[in-house]
Amino acid sequence: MELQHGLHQLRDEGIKLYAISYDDTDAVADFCRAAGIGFTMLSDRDSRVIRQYDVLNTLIPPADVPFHGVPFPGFFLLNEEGVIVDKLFNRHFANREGVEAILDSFLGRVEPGADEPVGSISENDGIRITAFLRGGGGVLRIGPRRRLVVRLEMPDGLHTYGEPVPDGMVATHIEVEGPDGFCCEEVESPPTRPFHLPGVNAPLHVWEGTVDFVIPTYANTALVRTVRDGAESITLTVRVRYQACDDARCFIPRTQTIELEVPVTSGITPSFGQLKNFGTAIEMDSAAHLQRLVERKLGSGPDSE
Amino acid sequence: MTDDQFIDEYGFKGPLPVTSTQRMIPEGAFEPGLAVGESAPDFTLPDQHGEGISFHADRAGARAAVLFYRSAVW
Repeated sequence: MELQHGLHQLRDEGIKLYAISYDDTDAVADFCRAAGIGFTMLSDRDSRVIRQYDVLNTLIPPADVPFHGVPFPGFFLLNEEGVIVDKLFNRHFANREGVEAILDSFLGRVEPGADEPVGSISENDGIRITAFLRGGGGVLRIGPRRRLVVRLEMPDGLHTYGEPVPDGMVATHIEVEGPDGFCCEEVESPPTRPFHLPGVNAPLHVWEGTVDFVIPTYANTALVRTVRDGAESITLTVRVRYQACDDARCFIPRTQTIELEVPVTSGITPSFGQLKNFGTAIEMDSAAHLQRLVERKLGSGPDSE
Repeated sequence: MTDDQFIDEYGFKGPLPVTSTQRMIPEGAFEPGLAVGESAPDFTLPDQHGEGISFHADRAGARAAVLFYRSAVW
C-alpha cells in the first residue's frame, strides 16, 4: 500500500493515520501481516462507524452481498481538537488521494517531495516555470490521484493573462502529454486580479508573483501495457504557452516545454480476484476471507441487513 | 472509447461489469460524510492486533487522517 510507503512523512509531522473497513479482525490482521502495515487498521465489521461518519455507499443495495456495507472511500483530516478540517473523497474509488495530499492539506502548501519528478526552466524574460508531479513518492501506479503542479514565478512588474483576452493577446495555456493510460483532468487555476493595460479597452485578468496551476492526473488500466512491455518510466511533456507583459508593453508570446520522467511500478493487490492494476500479489488467503465475509453477510442476526 | 463492459468511463478495468453496483460511480453533487467543521465522533473498534482502540484517546490530541476504504480482502 502506498500509505505504508509514505507513512514516515506523516509521522515526521506528528500526524496519526487510521484505516477503517468492514473486514473482520482476522482479515485485517492477515492483511497487515502480509503487507507489512505499520499504522492502525480497524475492523468495523457491522459498518457502524462507517454509518456514524455518514460515508456508507448508498449506491449498493442491501441485497448486494457482500458489497453492501462498504463506504465511499476517502479521508477525513482532523486537527488537534478532533475537528474535521478537510475531506478527501473522489467519485471513483480507484482514484484515491495519498499521503502527499494529506500533508499538503495540513501544511497548507504544495512543494515537490524529495523523490518527486521535477523540471524547471527559465528564459531571459525572468519567468521561471517549474513542473512537478506530487504524490506517491514520485512513482506512478494505476489508480491513485496525482497532482501535476505547474508553478510560474514572475519577477516584479511582469504578469501573464487569464481568459478572456482580446484578439491578438495570448492567455496562459497549459497542456500535458503522456502515454496512453495517463489521464489529465481540467487545470485548476489560481484566481486572477483585474488589470488595465494602456491602449487596451477590454478588462484584463492577470497572474503575478508566484502562482501554482494544478492538474489532477491519474493512470488507468491502459497503462498496463506500457509497464508489461518493460517500461520503468514514462515521459510527460508539459507545455506552457504564455505572454508576459509589464505595465507598459507586452513581450512576444512563447511556449516553454518541460519533460518529466516518471518511474512506474507495481502496487500490491490481494491474492484473490480484483487485479485492478499491475499488482504484486501478497501472501494472504483472500479467498477464505471472502468466503467468510459472504457467509457473514448472508447470515441472520446483527451482521446482516 | 471502448464499449467493453468491464472498463468504466475513467478507463479502469475490473473483473465485474461496470453495471454492478460496487462499480457504480456517483453522479451529480458528491460530498459524502460529516461536514468540515464538525467534531469527529468518538468510537471504539478492534485493531489488527485485536486490541480495542478508543479513537480520541488513542489519537491523544495529535492531528489525524482517518481513511475509510472498501476492503483489505477484495
